[in-house]
Amino acid sequence: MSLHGWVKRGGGISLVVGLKKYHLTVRSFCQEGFLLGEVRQEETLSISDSQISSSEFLHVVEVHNHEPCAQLFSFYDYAGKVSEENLNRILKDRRKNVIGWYRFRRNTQQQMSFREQVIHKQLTHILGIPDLVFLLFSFISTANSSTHALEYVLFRPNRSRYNQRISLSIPNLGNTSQQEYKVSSVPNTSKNYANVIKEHGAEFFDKDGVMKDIRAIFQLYSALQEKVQAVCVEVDQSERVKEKIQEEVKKLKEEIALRKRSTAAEERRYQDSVNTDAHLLQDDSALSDSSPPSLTRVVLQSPPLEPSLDWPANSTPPPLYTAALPPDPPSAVLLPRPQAVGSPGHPSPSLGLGNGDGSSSDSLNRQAIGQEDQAEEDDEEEDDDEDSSEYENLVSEQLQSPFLTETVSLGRPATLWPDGDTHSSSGSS
Amino acid sequence: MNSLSPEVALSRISPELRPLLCSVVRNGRVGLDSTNCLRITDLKTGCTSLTPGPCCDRFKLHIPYAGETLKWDIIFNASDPELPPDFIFGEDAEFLPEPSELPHLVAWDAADPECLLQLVKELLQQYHQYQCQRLRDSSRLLFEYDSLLEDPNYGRSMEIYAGRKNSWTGEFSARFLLKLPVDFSNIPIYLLKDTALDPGEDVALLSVSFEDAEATQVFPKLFLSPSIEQGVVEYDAVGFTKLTLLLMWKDFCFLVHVDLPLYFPRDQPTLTFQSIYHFTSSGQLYSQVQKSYPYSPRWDGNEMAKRAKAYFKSFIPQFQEGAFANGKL
Repeated sequence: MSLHGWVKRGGGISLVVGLKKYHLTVRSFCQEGFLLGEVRQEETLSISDSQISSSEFLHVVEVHNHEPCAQLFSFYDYAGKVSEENLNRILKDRRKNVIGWYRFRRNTQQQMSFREQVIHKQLTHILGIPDLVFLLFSFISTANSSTHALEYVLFRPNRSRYNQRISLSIPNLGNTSQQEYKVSSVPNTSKNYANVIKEHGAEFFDKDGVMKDIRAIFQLYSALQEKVQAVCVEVDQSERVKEKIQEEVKKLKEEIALRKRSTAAEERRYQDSVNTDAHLLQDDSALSDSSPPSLTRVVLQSPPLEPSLDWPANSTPPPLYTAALPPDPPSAVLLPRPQAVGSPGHPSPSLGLGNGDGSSSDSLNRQAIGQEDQAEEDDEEEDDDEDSSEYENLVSEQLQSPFLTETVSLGRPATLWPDGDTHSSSGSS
Repeated sequence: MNSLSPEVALSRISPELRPLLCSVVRNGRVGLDSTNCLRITDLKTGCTSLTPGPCCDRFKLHIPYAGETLKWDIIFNASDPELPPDFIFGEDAEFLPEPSELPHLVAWDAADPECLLQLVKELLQQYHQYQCQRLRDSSRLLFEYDSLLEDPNYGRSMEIYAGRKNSWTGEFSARFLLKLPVDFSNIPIYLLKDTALDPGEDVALLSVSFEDAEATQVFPKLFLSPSIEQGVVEYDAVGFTKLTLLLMWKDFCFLVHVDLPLYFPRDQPTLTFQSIYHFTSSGQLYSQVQKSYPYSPRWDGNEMAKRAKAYFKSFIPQFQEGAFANGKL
């Protein structure tokens, strides 16, 4: 096993260590050396139910390798004074990769010794590493040699005296939790590995050292992004057009509803007048043998409905009132007596006006209003269907108006009261 | 903690390191309390478990200091016995001596059996300075220390131990161990069953414990070396108002009871001389009480003892005659 790992400081520490048994446990005396690696800083943002965002700042120290010293006192003297010359001779060109140093001693306390503290201070100053770490390994055996334990403690002596020890965890040895994701890879410093990669890497890596597949995937991703962007623009435009059309439809519906109301009002006025004429004709029938002119000539024609608004293009326009009347009216022709809306003989246009299909014009109005209040996601077909149903109602109203059928029948005319029942009227005015 | 006899401890030490440890466990008297030797416990080895013994090269050294016992870990390397040891100063993790001021470390000589002992003494000197620095946290105690430092009788014979602050109350305590400047030359020969046992230097130590930083609670305690304790029959260890000495003059042994009055030193102590051979008619030991002898309340303690000693010399012949004349053997 070789010494590899990383150390995180700040919010948490994790150290992955694999020890070189040959260097540390086989030899009988204390061992020491230097830890090589690199230092980086990470900021982790997390969102939880209690906090919108919380950031955790980590100081990550990666241990890539180690450089053991051949013997004790190899770079310092009896007083612990460090010799920079000897230090450079040991580290050579790897001095810049030093992030700490370590020592292994058996059956001792997990506490920095006097000489270790003296050396650490000098190394911090010479190497120029403010947060130089010290890793202490200790090997403890029971008296009967039945149990042996390799313990390790990481120190950060340059910090406050109350916070020198750094807790360690070893994710890759033992029970690895599923939540411990490795966020970065430890670079391999092996020369053989580098040679193999160099020899066969061209098949997988491009000139920049990036895997070709990865670059292709990125290109695909970029193309998809562009398409999505274009589609977004189109969708935006179509949505705007749709919104505009819906506004127009809304306005037209409002106009339709208004005209319906006015049409209905006029119809009622006409019916009232027709009823009045019918009464007069019946009264005069005994006095005069002249055939009364057709009611069709007397009855005022309601203003024709505009086919463009109410009727689909292929449908026939609604017949006029004249077409719905029988050909032989028995009564004399009299001018209809206009009646005001709301008069006793004039049923309220908002009540009881049947359309033949069980609905009323009021419901049509409400339906029209409801259509105005609906959201834009209403289906246009549904709107069209509703609109067509309104037109059908109007047609049925024209064809099946009880006023018309009853006013032309011989005998006592009937007036449709608001409650829907027919009542006989006697010279109502 | 396994307390081993010196011989047992030495038998387990690696042979190359044994001479260094011999002087420590047999002759190791450091500090003011020379009556207590240095002790070694918790012997361990830095070799593999397959290494045949004896191969212990690391242990815990117990050092009496200012009424406390320091426990320092000393770490050698049995495979490299010529190398100087390393130290772990126990609970005093902040104690970091200056290596350049440790001559026996800078010029470590494994061939010198006294080298380790001398190095421990040098470390102890720096430890004393370290403790004195800690007194600066209490101005009152620092004042007491500075006052004693100015006194030539105590300046060089003082050990300070500054207790750790209570993390809850912030209180600070300290202990001063002072070597009293007493002349023991006239104390009788040390009488012990085991004449081979060296009683050590005659010394009287005064331990003063300050339980708080303002010195409102002070607890003194007197320590006497064994030879002195042999001459002192008994004494009031609480109020220090009574003392009984067994003295000898020309083969004539007698007891002297010293009673300090309530308003001492204004009032003169009472001296009661008592023969150990003669009885009165009532069966009591023949004694004579002296209240009038040369005395001045302005004398310091040493002067009083000196004058009392001179009076003893002048009065004893007279007392002896009276005891022979009026007492029965």
